[in-house]
Amino acid sequence: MKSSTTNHRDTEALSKRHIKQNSFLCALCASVVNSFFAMALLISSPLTSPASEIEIPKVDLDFSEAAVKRGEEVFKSSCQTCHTLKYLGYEAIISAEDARNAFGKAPPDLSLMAKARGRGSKGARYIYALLVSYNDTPEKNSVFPNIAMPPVFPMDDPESARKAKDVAAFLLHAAEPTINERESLGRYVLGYMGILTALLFFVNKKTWKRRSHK
Amino acid sequence: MSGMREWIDKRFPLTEFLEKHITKYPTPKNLNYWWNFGSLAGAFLGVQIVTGIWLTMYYKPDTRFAFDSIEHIMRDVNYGWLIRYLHAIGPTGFFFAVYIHMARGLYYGSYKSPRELLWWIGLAIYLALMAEAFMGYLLPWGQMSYWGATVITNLFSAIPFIGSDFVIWLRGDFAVGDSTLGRFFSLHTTLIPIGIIGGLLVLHLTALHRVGSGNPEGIDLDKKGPAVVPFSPYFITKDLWFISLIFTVFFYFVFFKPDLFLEPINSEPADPFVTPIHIVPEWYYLPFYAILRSIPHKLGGVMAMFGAILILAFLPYLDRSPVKSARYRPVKKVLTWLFFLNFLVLGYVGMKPPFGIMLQIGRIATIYYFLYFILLPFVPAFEKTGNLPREEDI
Amino acid sequence: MEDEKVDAMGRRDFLTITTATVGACGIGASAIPFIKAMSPTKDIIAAGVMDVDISGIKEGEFRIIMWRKQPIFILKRNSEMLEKTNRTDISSLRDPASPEERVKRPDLLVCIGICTHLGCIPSWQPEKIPGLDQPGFYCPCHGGKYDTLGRRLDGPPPENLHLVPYEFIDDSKLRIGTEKFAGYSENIRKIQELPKA
Repeated sequence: MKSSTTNHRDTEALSKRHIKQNSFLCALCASVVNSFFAMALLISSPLTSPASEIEIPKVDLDFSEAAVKRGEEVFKSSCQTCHTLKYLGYEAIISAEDARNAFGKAPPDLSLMAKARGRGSKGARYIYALLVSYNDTPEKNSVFPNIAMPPVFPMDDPESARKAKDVAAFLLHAAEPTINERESLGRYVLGYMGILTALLFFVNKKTWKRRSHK
Repeated sequence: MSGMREWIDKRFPLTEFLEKHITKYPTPKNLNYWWNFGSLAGAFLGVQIVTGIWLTMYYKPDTRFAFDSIEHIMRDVNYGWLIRYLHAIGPTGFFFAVYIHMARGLYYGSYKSPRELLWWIGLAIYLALMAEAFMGYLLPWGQMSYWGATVITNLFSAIPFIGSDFVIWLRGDFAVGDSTLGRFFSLHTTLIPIGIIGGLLVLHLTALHRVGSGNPEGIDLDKKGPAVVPFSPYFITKDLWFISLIFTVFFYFVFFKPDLFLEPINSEPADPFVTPIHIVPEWYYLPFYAILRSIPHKLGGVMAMFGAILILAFLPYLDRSPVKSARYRPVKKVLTWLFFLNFLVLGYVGMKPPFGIMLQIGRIATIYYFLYFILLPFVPAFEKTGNLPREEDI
Repeated sequence: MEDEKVDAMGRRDFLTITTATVGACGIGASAIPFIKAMSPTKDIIAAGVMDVDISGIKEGEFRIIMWRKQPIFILKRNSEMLEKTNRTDISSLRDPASPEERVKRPDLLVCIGICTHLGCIPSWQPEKIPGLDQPGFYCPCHGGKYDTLGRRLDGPPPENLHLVPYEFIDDSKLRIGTEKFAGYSENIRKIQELPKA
């Protein structure tokens, strides 16, 4: 195998070409990475998710610990009658059989509902929207027409919007209890990776610079 | 320390191997960043294997327990959520690296002699990877897991005469069920990882080291090609920093936006009686999914889909130009960039319902996909290849 | 020229060493989640707090219950047993401990039923331990003997039977374990040294 050789001729032209190539390649990589991001955004866009036909309002939900706690109370008083929350150990009060007879459909378990109806917080907002969209039309509910579930809160309940927000926050937390741990660890990891990447970048630069000075 | 080295070297070609294949391995010094994606793919392979081993400690390959076992991992296993997200989002990084790695091959003529075998082994790895990801996706036993597996295994019923029986044999049952889950679990955790790593990857690297890396100029090492440097430290540092950069992006998604890569409806346990409205495969299958749905004929669609991958194997013979790198091939350069763009278009079409304008775009894009390969043999007839640089200039 | 070379070398080495150190820290840190993932899961730890109904247990009655997959001895000690153990000379014990250091309530022994010699489960001897004049526990494997406070009286065991954290919720209910207590490996033989809930 050939041993390493270096050409000492026209290093200037060489480095010029390298710069040109490098910047071009940087642009290339940037565009590739960008298209990757774009694709990720597209995948997450409302156009591609199953609940895409429904307008989910961009309401600001409060995901604080207090809201989640209140939401748990709302769940116990208003939802637990029919819905289980099996991964959190909540049984429903009535049996699935009775519910199916009463409403036509068995009430689904809610442990992962906030994840099943949208990415990120979208699923929680879907749940909120659904709970506050009961009306007197034949469709019963504007978010989920002909829904089997009856209105959860009395339609004239002034607290219904707040309760809906709280239970949505609770259900998001129920779907992913480790969310806070994930984000806090993530901050450390990303900070570390930023430093490591910068250090490795400069080690590489130094390594190649030494070579062209040899 | 060095005494221990000598003791080993007498009995095992350790230093000899390390020097020949890593530290002193001659590498063209003009490699650009397109050459980083092979090692990047290797890094993602490492992530998948390690996280996969850990997940297997807790996952239960039984349709009664599979879904719950994943929730157990997410909620009860310490850092289980992290291991799960790494494993679920890793394939995106893996295929990202692999597609760009293949694109490099397409653009720079890496498939040309004497690298045909290297190219074919790479294609085998790609196919194995597609199968691996497909089988892995069934394991969580969610709605998309179940229905995706049902749809894709159904494709094989298009095979004339034996199709339906073949599908039953493939599934081990008349519908996707425990038999299917069991065999997908086995192949996903044993045969294919061992086959890819132990087998194909070693072959891939062996074939590479026999002929050496290509380079952006397209002039080979053995014809007094571009100057070389030892792999260590130059390309170790270059590979490491780039892997670190991409992994920073990867970790951003893992820690802050994992939901982008987890299909919402897969958070519902599989229900054989309810088919989801949109069945969407993972993004790395989308271009081929689009090709499949562009052809109105069942068998035709299946053949076009598999054909789209297999046609890549013929590249060494379709591309007749003696010039390797598209840098010096103006026509091929344009065609190839259009091919890449077309691939992205196909990907977009693949995620949309196949009606109306989307279907038309998909069909045009499918045609262009195959047209690229059909045109290639004719390009040298009229292409004015750029002058390859003189050896002394490099 | 020479100085320049040395200088460049020095600088590169510092950067390389720093980077290698930072990288090594990262690799070490990334091993932690995988190591921790093999520890008992949260549901197992949560199951480590267990309530036991002791209302039905009679004087002199002995029960074994399973806690974290380990046998726990529960013994309702009668007045004879109390008397006998009060009269035992503590300094003669291989692992000295007074009754106050072994039980929260004099009439109820709660301890781990695993012999401290090599891990067999000692058997309850309500009348007399073979070769001794008192009731207690006799380990069939190698002949270890314990009194009704689980203290080692004779044989190869080096220590008294180990204790688990427990509390009386009320007179009829015992809560065994805390979420953090590991159990057998913690090797605690005095009530005062048990971790709080």
